[in-house]
Amino acid sequence: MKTDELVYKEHIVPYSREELINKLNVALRDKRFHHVLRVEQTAVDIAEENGVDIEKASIAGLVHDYAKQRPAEDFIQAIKDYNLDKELLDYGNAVWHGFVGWIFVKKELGINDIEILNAVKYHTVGYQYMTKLEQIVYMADYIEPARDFEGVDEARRLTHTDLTKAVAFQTKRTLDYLVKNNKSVFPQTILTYNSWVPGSGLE
Amino acid sequence: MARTFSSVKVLPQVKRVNTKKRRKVGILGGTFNPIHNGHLIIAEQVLDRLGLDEVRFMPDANPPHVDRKFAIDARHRVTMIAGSIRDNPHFFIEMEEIIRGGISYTVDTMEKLTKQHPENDYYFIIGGDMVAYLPKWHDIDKLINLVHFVGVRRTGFPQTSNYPIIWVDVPYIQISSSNIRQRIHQRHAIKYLVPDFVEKYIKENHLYEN
Repeated sequence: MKTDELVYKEHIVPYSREELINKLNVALRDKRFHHVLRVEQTAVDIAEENGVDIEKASIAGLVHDYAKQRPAEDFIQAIKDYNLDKELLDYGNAVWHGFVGWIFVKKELGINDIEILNAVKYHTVGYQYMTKLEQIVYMADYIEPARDFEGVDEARRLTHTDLTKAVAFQTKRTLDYLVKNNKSVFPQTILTYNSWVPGSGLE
Repeated sequence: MARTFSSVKVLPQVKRVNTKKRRKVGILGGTFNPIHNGHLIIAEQVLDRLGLDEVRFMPDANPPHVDRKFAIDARHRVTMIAGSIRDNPHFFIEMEEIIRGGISYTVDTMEKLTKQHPENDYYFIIGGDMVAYLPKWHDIDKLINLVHFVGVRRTGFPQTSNYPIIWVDVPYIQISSSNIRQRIHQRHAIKYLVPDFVEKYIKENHLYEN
């Protein structure tokens, strides 16, 4: 289904899809805004293949990067205000924009649905247990049409044939990338790895 | 016969990363027609007393058999919840029953949520006046294995049950949704009984006026 044919009916967002898109257009720079639209379409496609609620996939795809372009001070303030784990202060935007960013989605966009907020929270670092929707957003962000990296074709093939294995694939690649480039690994990433990769049947 | 002892190995005292930490999730189900400060007080107090990670407000769908006058459109009920909890990072909406539509048995809902996130422990919050009806709940013997029941203590109602109940004391504020609707109908004040957002929303959308 083409996303521009979608009409929200489930009351998850207290306004229309058009209004949500306008808000994102304001919050995000052009390049990021178009990424978000592509993730939405990709998430809707995967949702259709997996019998998952399309409206939720659309919303989660649209809002997943809502906080991506906020200044570090906003996140630091939120970590303090909401008594989040102080360990988070040792990381940066790559971890914060999802793991903390869901708070801004809730507060500013008025979206309170637990599954969508979890999909935002886990879209970069994953989680031990992810619902289909949470897995879909995790994968849609990774394989949206403009993504171009070695292995993206395999990631796309897996996503459309075996979503669980695709999650394992991305999780493994992410950890691999962090280690190879001497980047710090957020502990949740390791928990995600341990839950999804061993026994996944990945080659 | 000689007995052999293997040497005793002392394991290093390593602090393990606890990967088995379970999330404690409160569920407050209802029609929320409309949500009022009594709901919010209960949710926050139970969250605090039991050290929950989050509380989810779980509105029910519009049951087809119920008089349409009874529960207004889910859109309004959900919007009023959303407007009331957006500043609280521990409060969420669980849309499972609305999205499924029709009548949902709690046991089916909780079974689905447990399957989706087996790492969660669910605390299902009910009023002390409801505890006596638990034996009549659909498939209660299965449900009792899926959730911990939290009873909000209410004077005048028995605090005994054949089912395990975690009792919590919450300041008893005698506000009910039906009472709110009645006040609106009679043009009486609801300020301070509901969040400002709800008061304004009801007025703007002319809800419950007749």
